[in-house]
Amino acid sequence: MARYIIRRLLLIIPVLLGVTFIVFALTYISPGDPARMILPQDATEADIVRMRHFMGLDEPFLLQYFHFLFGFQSPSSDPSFSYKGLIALDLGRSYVSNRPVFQTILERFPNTALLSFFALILSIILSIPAGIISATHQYSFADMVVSILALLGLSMPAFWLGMLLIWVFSVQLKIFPALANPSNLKSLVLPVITLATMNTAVQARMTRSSMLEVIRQDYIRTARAKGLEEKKVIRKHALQNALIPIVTVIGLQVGQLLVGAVLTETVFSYPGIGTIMVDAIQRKDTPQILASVVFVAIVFAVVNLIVDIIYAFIDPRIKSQYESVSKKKLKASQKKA
Amino acid sequence: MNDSKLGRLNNNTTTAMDATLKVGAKKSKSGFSEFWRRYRKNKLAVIGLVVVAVYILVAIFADLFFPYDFATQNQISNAFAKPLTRADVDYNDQTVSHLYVLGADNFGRDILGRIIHGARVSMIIGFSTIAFACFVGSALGAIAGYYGGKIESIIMGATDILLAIPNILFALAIVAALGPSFQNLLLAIGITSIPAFVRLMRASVLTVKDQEFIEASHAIGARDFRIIVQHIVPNCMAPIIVQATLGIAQSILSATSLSFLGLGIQPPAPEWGNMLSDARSYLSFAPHTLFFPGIAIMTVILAYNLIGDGLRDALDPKLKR
Repeated sequence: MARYIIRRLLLIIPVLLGVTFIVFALTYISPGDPARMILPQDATEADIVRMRHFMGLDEPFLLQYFHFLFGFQSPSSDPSFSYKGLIALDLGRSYVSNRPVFQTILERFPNTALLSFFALILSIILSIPAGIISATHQYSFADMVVSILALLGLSMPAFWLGMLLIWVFSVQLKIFPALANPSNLKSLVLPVITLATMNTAVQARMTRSSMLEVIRQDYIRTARAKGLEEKKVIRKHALQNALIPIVTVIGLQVGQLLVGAVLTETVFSYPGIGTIMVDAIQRKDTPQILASVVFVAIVFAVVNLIVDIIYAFIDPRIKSQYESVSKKKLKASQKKA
Repeated sequence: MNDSKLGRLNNNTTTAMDATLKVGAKKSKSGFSEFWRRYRKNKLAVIGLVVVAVYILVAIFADLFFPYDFATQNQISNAFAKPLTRADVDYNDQTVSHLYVLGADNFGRDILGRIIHGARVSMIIGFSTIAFACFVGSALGAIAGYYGGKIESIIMGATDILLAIPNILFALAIVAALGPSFQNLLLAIGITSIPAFVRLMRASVLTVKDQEFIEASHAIGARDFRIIVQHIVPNCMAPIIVQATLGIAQSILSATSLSFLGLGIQPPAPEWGNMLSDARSYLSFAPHTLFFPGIAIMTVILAYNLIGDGLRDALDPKLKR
């Protein structure tokens, strides 16, 4: 088990390198010259060349990537062009606001995390019990209600739902504000519902289909035949096996939450990391784009790590594969013999 | 001698393969009518199929239903016309009386016309991206789950890298880097849809591959490819079909979402996300600009979901009533 976790921890390094490389490469080949962007309109060609040199943009690609990771010392006397690199969470300053990019991100990320966390909790609380009831009472009235609600939730674009909620609860009923702010919990109600809807629907459907698959297996019949309480059959035998694909989906959905947060934050003008990204992309604020993507990537990688470790805990078949190398070798030698 | 042996081996394999192909063909023929018989039973799934068929026809014949210019040209004087209003519009230098069935947007453009032309964009995006992602993702996931070891580490590592970048942002990074075009949007959404299939397929394969019937196949000397394609993959299809269903929905959503943010398909091209983005500014006094494009998106995604559910029930023998 420890071996598996260590292995999985080590795997995060190439993941982060890969992500940073892809994002850096895409930013590198994208049209538009950052040096031209921060200089005034009437800058001469010589100014631009000098600025490119100060910003390290005249270096070869791989060297620029290296700077990006481990820091860059600008030949200019202006210290704002130098940065300590990703390793020190310092990727320089925004071209637009001239603030250190990670400062903005670290200020705003807790807001997004708060929104996503509430949405995740709400979706798990609603979806898993709903999915289990739906599966254990297949074709009942409850199953029909859950299935229809899940289908509607799945089919509703989050930003449209958000706007509909604003129209009903802010414009017509005037119960909740249309603009959300982390300091006002009441204003979070609509964005959390908006963000949680899609996840709830996806997870409820997955729980239902996964449970249905497991419930039909022979060992469940055996468990029932030996006189086990139905509750225990579901909880101890069925759910544990059904959980594997559910955890996969919840893990994937955490990513969707952060993407959904981009839209939800835009609809409700909520100050989170989503609005930072959209602004940065629209303004071609390269350091801010790079930093936001890489930051979210680190968060994602950690979430994936946790999901994979949870796998091993809930499915002993997976754990046993990593348990001992010597056993595998033994098997292999037996096969040969 | 070696050569003749090889030749015989090859001959044997060919005949064996022919036999398999013949059996497979027979099976799939009766399999299809059996599948259709079961699919038909699910009325909702049939409705979904009809709705998607209607959308596809609308997408193909959009120009017959509604001239493109009509949906894109500004008619400022008719801005925010309510649904079912009749008003004069300029069309080809002529003044024509026109019925705004679903009302007009902030430029006085016909909302129904824009929805019809937007259908074309969404249909193409949904189909092509998921066909691509499902094929690539399932293949990679099955290989990773079945073989394990280094191959698994490489595939899952690549998947984790793709997963570690939020879809919209990755799609955007690609579109920004390669230039904003329809093909690049397809590529971006297609690539970001792959990881879900890889992970799901791998997770399913891991739970199937240690079961007895796989061991039995090994014992009778079946080759890996045959075991994966004939024994493992069919037993992992239910979650993949559910995911493909969600995938088409996701794909259409991603495209409309990018456009909603003003970062996807650019106005004045009629696209559902664009329409909702405009509607956001006017939702307090012109809610009809908000309702109808959203209903269009929801209906088409709902229809895909109903089809997916029907397919799952019809394809998976374990779920037979």
